[in-house]
Amino acid sequence: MQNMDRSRIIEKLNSIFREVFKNENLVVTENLCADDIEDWDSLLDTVLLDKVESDFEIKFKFKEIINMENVGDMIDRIVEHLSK
Amino acid sequence: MLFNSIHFIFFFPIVIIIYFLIPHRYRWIFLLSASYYFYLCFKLEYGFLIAGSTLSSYTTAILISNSKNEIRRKAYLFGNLILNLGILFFFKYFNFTISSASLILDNFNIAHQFPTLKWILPIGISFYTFQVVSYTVDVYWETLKPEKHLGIFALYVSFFPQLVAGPIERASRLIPQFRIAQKYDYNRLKSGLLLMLWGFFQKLVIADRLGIMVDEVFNNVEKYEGLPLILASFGFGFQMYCDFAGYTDIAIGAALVMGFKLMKNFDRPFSAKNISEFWRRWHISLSSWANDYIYRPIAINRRSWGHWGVVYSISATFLFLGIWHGAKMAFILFGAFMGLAFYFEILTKNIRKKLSKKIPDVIYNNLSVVLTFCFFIFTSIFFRGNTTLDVFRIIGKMFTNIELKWYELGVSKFELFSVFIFIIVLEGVHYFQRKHKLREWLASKPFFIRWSVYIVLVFIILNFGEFGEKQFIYFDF
Repeated sequence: MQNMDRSRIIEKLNSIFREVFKNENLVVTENLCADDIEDWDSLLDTVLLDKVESDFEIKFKFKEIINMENVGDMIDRIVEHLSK
Repeated sequence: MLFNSIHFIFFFPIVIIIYFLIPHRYRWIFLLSASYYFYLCFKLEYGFLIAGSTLSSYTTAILISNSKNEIRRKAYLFGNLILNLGILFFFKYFNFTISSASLILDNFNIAHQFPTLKWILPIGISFYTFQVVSYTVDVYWETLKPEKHLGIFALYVSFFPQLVAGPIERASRLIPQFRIAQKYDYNRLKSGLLLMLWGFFQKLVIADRLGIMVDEVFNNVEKYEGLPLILASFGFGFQMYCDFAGYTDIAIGAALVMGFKLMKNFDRPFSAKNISEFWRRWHISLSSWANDYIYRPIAINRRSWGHWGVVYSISATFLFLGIWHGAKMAFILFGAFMGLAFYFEILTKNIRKKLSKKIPDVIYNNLSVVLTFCFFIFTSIFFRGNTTLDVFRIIGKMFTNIELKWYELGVSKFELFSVFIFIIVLEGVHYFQRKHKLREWLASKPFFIRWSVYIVLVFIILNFGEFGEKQFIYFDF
């Protein structure tokens, strides 16, 4: 997958999040984190990661995931992977 | 040194007075010395173990941080993990491993002679081991920079309020606090002492009194059926909570007097509506440690397995938690039941959500709390039972021949009744804490009300407390 700008990444993440959390009203922002979504539990956490990786055709490193605190951090890692 | 001992009653005020009198730059030396003295009062040899663990983890973190070679970094990390967890495993499971191997060899008529370890598990070894493990892993994951000051790091590992039974503190939370020049604060002193007093109330008045009845029944299971087994099972649930939460409150209060904030370890666990919520409220420092260093790493590495990855991660985590408690089948069963409860909640999440919308909140929520509490009591039987056979005897005979009459269980009617009243007081305080911060609320009240509460609490402890210097339950782990 080629380089993508941040706004397009957020747009794509928006549809992924809505699909995973089954919530059509969910809006992804850079500051969004697990505490903001009631249904974001341990199962959906891994489902979400897996879906993001397969849709963007990337593979996060373990340390990258551990250090992600919010969607903004996730977007930063996606940008880095897509630019390789 | 036990918190509930005459020794501590002298030790603690002396430490506080000296701590606030000496300049800040010498405080780490003083606190480190006081912490080692506190710990060595149990047994001198323990000092070598904790010092060894401290030095190896300190060195490992610096080596990891200075190396750019990923293979070397991993080797340093695993070397330290094997050393520290190996020592823990050695003390916890050496005799069990030897006796199991002996049993197998006996079955094949193979002659053998194995040594057995005469040492008992060093008090606190699990707790400081988990702290150094979290520290070195955090440095490896690059979420934390290594601490270069050996003395400050040694204090983090051995800080006496939380050394022997937690809370298991993260380096990122505790180490920076040692560098702050804490000033004496009367309100903070009062708040810390009040928390310690509340901890002593839970431990001496509720836990140790209940322990008499619980020990009588659980140590003589063959004598009892019906009501005594029910009373002892529920009694143990409250004993375990008050013993551990009491210890934690004394630890947090003692640290607070000096200006240090330790993490909350219990958050009204009996108000949990499901098991996953229960574990967010019970022994929080251990459950968050297990989540961050066992569950999450495994779940991340198995994320392509979907649901099965989560099942695998939960199984590994609760197997670890069960085994960590001890080399007994009952502990493994305890872990297994908790794991099963998690699977059940994950698999039925949507069904329960739909059900909660059809039933009035007051019924659904209260029923959830009662069921969760009963499940906790059920698993506690595995925890306390002396043998696996005893556990199944208790469960099998609990509801047979229930007679509402007085049983001689080592406590008088008055003592049992008063413990029951104090448990109601405890739960009343928890209910109040749903919406209020109790110590802050009390601090805002007039002098007469505040001091009446303090005096009544001291009176209750002195007149209803069990002063046998009983060890805290979690010292065994």
